[in-house]
Amino acid sequence: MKIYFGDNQFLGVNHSGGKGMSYLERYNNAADVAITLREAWDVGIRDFCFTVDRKTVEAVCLIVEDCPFNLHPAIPYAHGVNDLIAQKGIAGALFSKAATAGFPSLILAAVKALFGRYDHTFRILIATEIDGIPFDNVKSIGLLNIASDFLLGLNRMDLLRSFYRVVERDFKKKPCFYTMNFPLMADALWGGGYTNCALIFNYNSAGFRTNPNLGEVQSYIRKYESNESIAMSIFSGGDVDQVGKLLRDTPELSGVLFGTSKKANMISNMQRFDIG
Amino acid sequence: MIRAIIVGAGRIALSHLPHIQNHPDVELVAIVEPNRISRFVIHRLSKIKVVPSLDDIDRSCFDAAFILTPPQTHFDIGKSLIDDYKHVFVEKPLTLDATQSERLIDAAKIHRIQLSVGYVYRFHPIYNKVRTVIDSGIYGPIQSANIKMSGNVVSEKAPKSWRNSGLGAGCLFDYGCHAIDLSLFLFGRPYNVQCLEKEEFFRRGVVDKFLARLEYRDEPNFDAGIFCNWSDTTVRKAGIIVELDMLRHSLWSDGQLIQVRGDDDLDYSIKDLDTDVPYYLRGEEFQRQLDVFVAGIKQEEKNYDYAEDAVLCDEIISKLHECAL
Repeated sequence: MKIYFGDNQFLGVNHSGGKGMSYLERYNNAADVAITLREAWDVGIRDFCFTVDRKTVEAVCLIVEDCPFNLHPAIPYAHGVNDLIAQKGIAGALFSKAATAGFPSLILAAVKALFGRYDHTFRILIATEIDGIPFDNVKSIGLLNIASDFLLGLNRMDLLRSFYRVVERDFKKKPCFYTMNFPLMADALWGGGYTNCALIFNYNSAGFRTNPNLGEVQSYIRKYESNESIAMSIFSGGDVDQVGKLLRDTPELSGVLFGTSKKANMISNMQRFDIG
Repeated sequence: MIRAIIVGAGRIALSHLPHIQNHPDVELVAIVEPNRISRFVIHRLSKIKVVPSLDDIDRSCFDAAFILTPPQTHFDIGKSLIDDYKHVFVEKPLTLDATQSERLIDAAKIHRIQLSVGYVYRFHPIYNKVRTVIDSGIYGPIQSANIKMSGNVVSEKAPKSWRNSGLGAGCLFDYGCHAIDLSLFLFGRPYNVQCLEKEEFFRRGVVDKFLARLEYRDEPNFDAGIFCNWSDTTVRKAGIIVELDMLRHSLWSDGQLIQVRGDDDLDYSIKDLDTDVPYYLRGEEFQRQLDVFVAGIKQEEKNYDYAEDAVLCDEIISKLHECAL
């Protein structure tokens, strides 16, 4: 089973108020993030999944020569987009993002989108968002659940597949989709023949956000056993000791994504996943 | 299958649209949006027919409507649809005038149609758990309460919109009304409302921050402080904090966690609650709110309790809006 290190602790997200703030204070700048990343490298973690937050990207650049992680950036960075919308409104935010791509490219993307071809738009968006990340180390490019589940809800499989195509064909990387609706997403992509992508989804013994329910998620891990399924939020709720059982119950799982700020937790988790 | 339309394709529509399109019992037949650019974008995104006006839709082709327009339009659109026997979901606040809101409920009752209001925190697992804890009475009566909503959603540079200019602008009508409604959800109808503080940061007449006191004089006797600041740059994600002092315990919650402190400490995490939903986007509450609206349409006996609280909420908003400090 492959182990992926995550970045939630660097951003203070998905933690209750006090804990989130203390993480934000602890990871005040890129150097602070880099310290934890070096610890992760030292304990044997080789893959790092992160949203394209500027502080995290700077940290990656600081350590990548000594700790050449396999990098798995994911877009879009929701807080960055929210801040931009608060500052400029929806239209202003869209224009601001597009403007960084250059006017000619923007016009071309707009014209193609008019005819229902979105690959060029995704190409621009991805190139803009992953700018500054050491490209040779990038192994996959992910679409975060705020975007992927939005498109899923709209039933825009064509757009999900357009992202897939652009990442695979133009960037020569593996597409990756974060989702809170694993069975629906699995049927939309893997079931539709788009099998060379990883799906990252909540999986934990408490059934926290394992939509539509834990049993269904487990049955879909088994249903698509030959595809790359990666569990996140595996320690959410329930008993930590249940994690081992959960993983044994679903050996079809390809990997686990977890984040922590403590080296001791990295080591114990690696042992829990039976690869330490 | 319930045939539905969406009226208004602004920012909040982006949260409702995927749930509506993905719901097995709802068929979205059209979207109404007067702005040409928004119309173009929402059509490209949803592939649903988009028209500039309600008059462009044959009213026999839909059963329900989601009114997601700016608040000052809610009454006219809502009344017209309810009078046509359409089930109506209205984004919060219900209207800008409690008398008008009352008229909407009266019409809904007469026509026996479902009327729901988008106070989405009522469907949030954690705040439902807070209510269960209060109702259980295990920690004794409430002595005092605070509900605080903060966010960084409107800035000085934000472009002019209904949120920050004109009728219905300001945080009383947007984020702040969630805090007021949550107070009604948790504690019921207050005896009295007092405005303690209001601040305008960017535009004259547009409230960006307020502090109010809701007085509860039935059993139990306590005051609830309601606070909102929607231009707090230190906040990364808008959210509501509930603080309660009870007889021998205190309770604190931020939407992820409930901490009870006293003789015996106890934590409830959202991770321990039932979070299963058939489709998830931005929290369980949007899906559950939609499910309740759909269930209400199907039920013979309609329930207007939440809509009546929305009228009360409008009454409180008006009092706070009109009070001079």
